[in-house]
Parts: sequence; C-alpha cells; structure tokens
Amino acid sequence: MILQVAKSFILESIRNTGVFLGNLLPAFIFIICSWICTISIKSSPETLDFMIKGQFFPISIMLLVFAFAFSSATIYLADLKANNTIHLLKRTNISPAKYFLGIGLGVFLMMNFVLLLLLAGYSFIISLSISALISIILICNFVLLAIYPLCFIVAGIVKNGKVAQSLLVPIMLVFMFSITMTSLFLTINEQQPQDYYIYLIWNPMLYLSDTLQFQLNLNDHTWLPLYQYSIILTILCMVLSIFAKQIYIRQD
Amino acid sequence: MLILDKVQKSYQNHSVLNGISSTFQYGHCYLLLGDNGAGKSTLLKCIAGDEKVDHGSIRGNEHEDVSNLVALQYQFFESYSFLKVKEVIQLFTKLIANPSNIKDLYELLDIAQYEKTLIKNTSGGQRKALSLYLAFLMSKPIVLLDEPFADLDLKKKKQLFGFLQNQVHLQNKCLIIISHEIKGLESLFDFVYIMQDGQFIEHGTTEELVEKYKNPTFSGLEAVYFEVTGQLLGGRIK
Repeated sequence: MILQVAKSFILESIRNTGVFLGNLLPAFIFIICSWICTISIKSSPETLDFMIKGQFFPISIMLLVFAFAFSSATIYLADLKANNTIHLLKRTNISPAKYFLGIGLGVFLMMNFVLLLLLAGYSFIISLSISALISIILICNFVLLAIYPLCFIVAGIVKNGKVAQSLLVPIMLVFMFSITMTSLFLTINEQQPQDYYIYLIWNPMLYLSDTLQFQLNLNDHTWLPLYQYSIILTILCMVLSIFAKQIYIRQD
Repeated sequence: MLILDKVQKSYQNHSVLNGISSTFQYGHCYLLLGDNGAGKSTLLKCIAGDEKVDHGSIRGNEHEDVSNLVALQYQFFESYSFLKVKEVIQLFTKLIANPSNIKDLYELLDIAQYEKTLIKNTSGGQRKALSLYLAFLMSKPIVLLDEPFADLDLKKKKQLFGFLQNQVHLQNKCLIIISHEIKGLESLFDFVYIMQDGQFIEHGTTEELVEKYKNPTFSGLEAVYFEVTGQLLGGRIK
C-alpha cells in the first residue's frame, strides 16, 4: 500500500510539469550562476570560492530541501483535503499514518534523486569530498524528517493548495533568511554567527546551513556535534508530528 | 440497517437538515428527491461521515459506526488530476482490502476507452463514471449515489439500472440515490423520500406514492413530485 501511494505521489508530482520545474529551477539556477561566475571571475579564485561555497551552494541546497520536503507536499496535501480525497481515502483500508508515510517515501525518493543531481553538478565546480557529500545528504534527510510533519500542519489549516501556496513564500523567507541574513550581517560586523544560533534553534535550516558551512571548510567546527543535530531534528519531527496529528483529528 | 434519528445540520446559522428521522434497510433501493438546496447532498455527506451532524444520530445495527459501512459517489470527482484513470483504479484496488469484482460495471461505463487519459483531461461524465466505479469497488453494504444517471445515454442508463438492481437484490446492498433522471427507471426504487427545506415532506413505497398522487400532465414519480412540491423535477415552475 505504502509503495503504491509513493508511486502515485511521484507520478503526480512529475507529470505536473509546471510545479515540478518550479521546484527544480530555484535550486539549479544557482549552479548556472556558479558556472557563469567561474568563467567570468578568473582573477580572484578565493572570492569566487567564497561566493559559491558561502552563498550559491547553501542556498541551492536549502531551496531544494524546502521545495521538495515542504512546498510540493504541502500543496499536494492541501489539495487532497480540498477535493474530498481525504474523505474518499477514509473509506479504504489504508490508515492515515500509512498514507502519509507513503507520500513521505515519495518525497524522500524525489528529494534524494534531485539532491544527487545537484551535488553532482556542484562537484564539477567546487571540490566536495565523499565524506562531505555523505554528511550533506544525511543532514538534508534529517531536515526533511523535521520539516515533513509541518506540511500537515500548514495543509491542515488552509482551505486549498492555492492558499497554501500563498503562505509558503513568507514561511520560506522566515526559514531561509533568518539563517542566511543573520550569518551574513554578523560576519560583516566581524562577529561569530554561531554565538547567536541559540536564538534560531527552532529553525531546521540552521542545522543544514551550519553543517554545509563546516563541510565546505568555511567553519572550523559546527555549532553542536552533528549527532546532536540529528537528535534535535528527530525531536522536532516528533513534536511537529504530534501537532500534525492533533490538527488531523480536529478536522476529522 | 441505517437509522437516522432527528438529524440536524447547520452551516453558519443556516439550517440545512431539520431533524430528519428515518430507517433504511439492506436489500432496498431508496430515491431522494428534492429541489436544489433541499439538503439531499448534505444528508448523504452526513451519512458517509464527511460532515458531522450538529444534533441527532446516524447509526447502524447495535450502534455500529455507519461511516465504515458506507461508500459515497461524489457528484464531482476532482482527485488525482495527474494520474491516469487506470492508475487511480489500481491505487484504490491496492488500498481496499477486498475490492469488489465489478468488471461488468467497468465495461458498462466504457472505462477502457479512457483508462489511459489523465483525470484532468477527462470529461465530467467520465469522472462521474470513475467515481461511481470506485464507490462500488469499495465493497460497502451501503452505497450512496449522487446523480448516477446524469451524462449517460439511454442505453447506458438501462444497463446501469440492471447493475444497480443486481447490487440491491443479489448483493443485498442498501442504495440511496439522488437523481432527477428517473423516467423509465421507477421500478428500481423501492422507496421514495421527498425533501424540502431540510426535511422529508413525503415518503413511502413507489407504488403507494404513485397511487396516492395522480396528475393529468405527468405520470409516475414525476407526477408525485409535482403534486407534493408544486415543482417540476429538476426545475421550479413559475
């Protein structure tokens, strides 16, 4: 059952060409920017390296995780609710948990496939060790784990996919820019961004961004050990799952 | 057996169902008639558990949860826009523990002709046919149908009529049908309920009502409906 649901989700996501390309484009556009910069900026390789590793690459990865782990699943779920599919599914023998696990499997497979393509693309531009690649893939999947239940919370409180879509932009801005802008401005002021990470512990993108910076040798160490990031993200997943379940039960 | 006891439902202080009570038995087919906004579709959604009732109860034998016994065919099927018709059927066949073997309905509804079409590219009639197919695929003893005969040609209507008769008499199902297209199909319906303003204003067996209400212009259940409500089936008379 779970595999069939995952297959249906993947088929629907890929065939919805506009939305699928819309999810791919923001992440891949920064590879193009990186290539153009590599060709154009020959005089200052250090600046180029910092631009790609400090900006283009992390933003690409964050946008990809956000698009696949959150945006597309939220819109899909909101539409399932709006067009009575949830009611229809209640009359079958699949439990809501199994159905949402099936969608989760679809999200996991799609995100990882595109992530591998993205990392392969960047590996032609910047040096990425195998251990760095594995760590990046792992942290992306832990962030997916933490963000995925949030899809149900947002999809549960909005009327349909269009309303969900309009909410996604501000949510994305909060998730992404609370990390990137904070790091940027603190670095400009010659302060250590990690000193302020305590205020951003609620944001799963923090752990992704910090791990990326470490794996790309922009930081000497991560704010907390990587295993603690995985524990925090798993706890975040469990807390959000409880909220998501409550919202589902309330609407049932 | 399905028992409705003083069922009430309101939306934003607008009362849609006003204390509806009735009993529906297995092995019988029930026709719900009423003007647009009479509360027919809301009643079916309440029985199916899609909508919660404000007051009263909907229950089966020995207070069992009716929503587990019910399949509802929606008037509009808008799910899975980017799946093909065949893929939706495959999905539901996997999700249902004991799907019905209803090849005859598959052929009757000509699903093979458009099974490779994406749902978003199918016509309203094709989507309704799929919705009807899924409702029977679920193997539920109570099946609620919302305008199943609309968009079907005369031949298909007759074939569907035969299929529904089999479901009632051979499978011992309880069918509750909303339909305005009943000409020539009256013998399918054992009982008729006429709704107005969220209430049953008349009900009885088809024979009883046809005998009770006669009209020089209309015949059968059309005459019954006109005499009870002063309206034409599917349209108001001025």
